[in-house]
Amino acid sequence: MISLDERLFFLINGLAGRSPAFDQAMALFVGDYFIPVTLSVVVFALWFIGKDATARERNQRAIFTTATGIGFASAIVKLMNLGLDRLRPFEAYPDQVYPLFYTCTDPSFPANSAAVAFAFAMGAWFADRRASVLLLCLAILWSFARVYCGVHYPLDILGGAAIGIVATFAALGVIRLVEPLPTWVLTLMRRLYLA
Amino acid sequence: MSWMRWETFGADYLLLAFMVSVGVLQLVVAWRRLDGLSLFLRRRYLAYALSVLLIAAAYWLFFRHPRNIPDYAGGLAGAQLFIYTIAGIVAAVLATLIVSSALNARWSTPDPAGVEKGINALKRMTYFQALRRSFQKRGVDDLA
Repeated sequence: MISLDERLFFLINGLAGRSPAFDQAMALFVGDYFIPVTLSVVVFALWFIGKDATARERNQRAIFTTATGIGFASAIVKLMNLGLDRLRPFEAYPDQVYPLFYTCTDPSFPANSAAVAFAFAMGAWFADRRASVLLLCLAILWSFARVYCGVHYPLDILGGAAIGIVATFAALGVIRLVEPLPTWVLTLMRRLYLA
Repeated sequence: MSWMRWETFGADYLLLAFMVSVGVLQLVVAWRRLDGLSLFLRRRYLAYALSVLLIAAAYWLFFRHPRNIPDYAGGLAGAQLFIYTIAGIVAAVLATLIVSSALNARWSTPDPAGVEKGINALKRMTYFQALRRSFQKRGVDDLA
């Protein structure tokens, strides 16, 4: 499994350095800013869209789930980092990896970026499938860029994605558990013409 | 010096989150016809064009400099990123509510079906007009 993971990593990272334009695009997508801010504003837009009041309320509840899911996913990754310490590809194979990103200091497995991005996509799935597919595309693009630029192995991404999805399902349960709190918040926001 | 760099980086990211949020909000406002929140005088296609331009300008302004900088060398850590993103979005909503209410202060259309609830009220009036109506209605209810 590990061997296959590393072979797949070198296959993808081996593409780096062939096209300066593609490298530049990947260097933009791999970062901590472009895709995270885009994911955030797509979810922000969900608050206001929806064909009718019912659809909009479903979107707004999904935003609560998404935000809670992201929190859970980040916490799970932090906890796992205490026990697992897989070296980053550029640390394990400094002479063979083509790096296009700075040297991260935290463990490689699981990928926090994938956990967060897939939590975004999964949270929106409960409300708006089209928005969820858009978020999923962004999550896949970010994850691919992380491997392409030598930051993560594919298995790190798969682990992160699984954590993001599971964390969002857990968040869905928690949001149902704390009902009527979300309803109170939405009612207050509606009275203030904000929901 | 590193503190100064962090401040500049944080401010740049805050501006990115703010501008992109304003642009996305205006796209949604034009699409869903929430005219009371329009910053572009309720002109739908102008709103689409200017919103896309605003979003593109925000990305260009931020990414014209190298931004792949780790948090230990002046970039933003995860928690800071979260706080700045939320701050940018909240600032964008507040700015939109205030500026759209000022720009569209003389505009409102009668609501033949009665009073719409929640954000739908902003299809026919500005945010401040909706708040004022809400307080006036409460005053009448209190007297009754």
